[in-house]
Amino acid sequence: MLSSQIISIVTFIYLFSTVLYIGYLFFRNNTLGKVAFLTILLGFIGNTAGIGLRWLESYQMGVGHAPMSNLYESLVLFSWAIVLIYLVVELKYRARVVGAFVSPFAFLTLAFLSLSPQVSDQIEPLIPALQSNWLTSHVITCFLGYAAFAVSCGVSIMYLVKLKKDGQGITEFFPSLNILDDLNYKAIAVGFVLLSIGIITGAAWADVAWGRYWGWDPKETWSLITWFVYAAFIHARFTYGWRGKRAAILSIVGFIAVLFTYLGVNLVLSGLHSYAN
Amino acid sequence: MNSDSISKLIKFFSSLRLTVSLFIILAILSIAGTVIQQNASVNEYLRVYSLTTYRVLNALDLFDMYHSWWFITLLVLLSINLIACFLKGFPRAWRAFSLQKRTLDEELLKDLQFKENLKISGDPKVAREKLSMLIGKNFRKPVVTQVNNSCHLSSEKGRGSRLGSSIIHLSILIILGGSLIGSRLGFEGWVRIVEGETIDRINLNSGVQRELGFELRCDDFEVSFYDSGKPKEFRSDITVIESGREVLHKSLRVNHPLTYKGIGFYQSDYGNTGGQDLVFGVREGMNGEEKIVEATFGEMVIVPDSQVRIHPIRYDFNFQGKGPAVQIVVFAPDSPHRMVWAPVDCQDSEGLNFCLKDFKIVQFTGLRVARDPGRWGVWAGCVLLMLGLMMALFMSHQRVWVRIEEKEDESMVTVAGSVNRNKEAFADKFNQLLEEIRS
Repeated sequence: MLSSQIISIVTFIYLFSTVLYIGYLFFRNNTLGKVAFLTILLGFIGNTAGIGLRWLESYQMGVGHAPMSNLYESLVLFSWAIVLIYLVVELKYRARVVGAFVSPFAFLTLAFLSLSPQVSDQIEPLIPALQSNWLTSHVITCFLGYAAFAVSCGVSIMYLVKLKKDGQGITEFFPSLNILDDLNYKAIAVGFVLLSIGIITGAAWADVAWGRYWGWDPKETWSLITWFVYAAFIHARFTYGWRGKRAAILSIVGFIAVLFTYLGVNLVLSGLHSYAN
Repeated sequence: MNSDSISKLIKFFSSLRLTVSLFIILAILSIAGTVIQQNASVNEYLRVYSLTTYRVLNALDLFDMYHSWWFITLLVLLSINLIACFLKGFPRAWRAFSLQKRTLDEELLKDLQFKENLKISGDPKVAREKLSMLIGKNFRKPVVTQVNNSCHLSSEKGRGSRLGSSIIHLSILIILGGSLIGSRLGFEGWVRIVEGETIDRINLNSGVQRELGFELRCDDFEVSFYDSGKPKEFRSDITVIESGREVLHKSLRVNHPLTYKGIGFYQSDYGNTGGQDLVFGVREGMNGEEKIVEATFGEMVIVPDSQVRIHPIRYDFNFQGKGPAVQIVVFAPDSPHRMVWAPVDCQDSEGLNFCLKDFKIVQFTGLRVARDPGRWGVWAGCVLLMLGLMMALFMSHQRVWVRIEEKEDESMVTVAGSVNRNKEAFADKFNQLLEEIRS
């Protein structure tokens, strides 16, 4: 399939942009930064084309549906959403260095997809449970939310590195601690709203499919755990004025919960529950 | 209880410490519920845990922890916390939301973080026009108030931001209230309807039966498959009958439930009932003579003119993606019994071959049944939650005042402002305004 070939190429483009961003970080060469940005932009265009083409291909195969039905498609969407959120940050805050900490997330997501034997790139028709109008809105909001949290995690790592190095060396080049802290909060605020919409659309879908909006299944429960972590972050910030280092650490903890909600529940808990199958 | 201890109690229940503690405790306990399988059968648990472990976990309610007394207690604590926070926060938020201060007096000025004194020379009227225009450009068109000799311009934006957190707290209480109504007044259950048959009662998950007050007939059940063998559609054609009259026909599919009189019916499983007329063709080796055997599930029959006995146990309407097949246990003399599948499309090979020649399968459809009168509360709460989140996270209450003391050919101007959050962005905007005034 042409779409999966495109995605393989995009994987290498993201690897390339990661290398360029790291080069930019060390050599502080603006031209290198520009090239890195154009590379990730090219990757994003390819990523978008890959998703669109796969959508088209599914219709040509007669099983037409949005490419959001299995792990392969969700990983491609996840990398797309991460880069989209980064591009918004870049356009709004001109914080190009952030790319060095976000680009690897996009690359690793696609690399995981091509290396893991559990991930098949076949276009499959939808099973009855997935045949719903809620599919697209639920998946897109969840993944944009996850991506915003990935960006906040990347920014938090930058914060901690800059703090440790006392703003010396390569970190001299990073945005100021205040800006990083602010970006961390803003990405989490956006992610929190998207995660909330994702949970609500998921509940609405579950209600139509199974006659219950909440059933404490592992996926639902982990999304709620993630919601609790970020709700704690927001309360601590508004009321206690938690900022800086503590906020950065909490943001990284939150992203671990996100990863577990997204991948852990499918890959690890299914193992723990294998006796049930 | 004296008023001091009451206020201490209110302080405890509305404290952020309690909120964050509850978030962390609920999150950690919820993890346990995803690692330990919930509501499985005793046999399944004993396969994984030793008897002692099973007893301990069971005594702690960990096999149905989300409905245990201690988990419910935490949710009740969270609700009390939400109510206390709402009662404490709302009056203050409402004051900040509704109180519109039009004039910039010394008392107000003292509390403001952003302020600057300026002198503008020239015609005071022109200066006033210019200030009004600049505020309108950067914020909203200002309200002009004349007090004695001074003129006050005031403008504000994003008032809703003040109410955001109260709306969020209220919305979560509404969601919890809706789920409480659902759990008290609603029910969950299941029912199986054999094709062509009619039911008037369902099985509740609690184990008792419940009359519907109307009848459901299953006219047909169909399952279809993709070439890959994965299911494509489960469809039950259902007729609702009330007082002997057919009132509704509906093709019920996954994601397309039937709702009648507030009770929802959801496609969940299907199967076949026993007692079917099965006909097998049994052939010894490649060229043996085919013997016809009639059989039913759960009964042993002898293959004519032989000592072989067969016992059909299971039906699969799409065995290995090749259509219907029946699993049978074969008892032959001088060899241990074995299980084989008898498909419709069978290939002859060495030994005994079993072929499914004919069968009459009666299918049933399995429906989940649920009534939840609280769900509208839950959805209303969700809409309110989205609104509250937008107001609390993406809006800030920005206010600016300008006080002008007009002289002959100059104006003494005091510019001041305040914001409830996102100070950095407001500071930029405020400085921008000052710069434009100066130029």
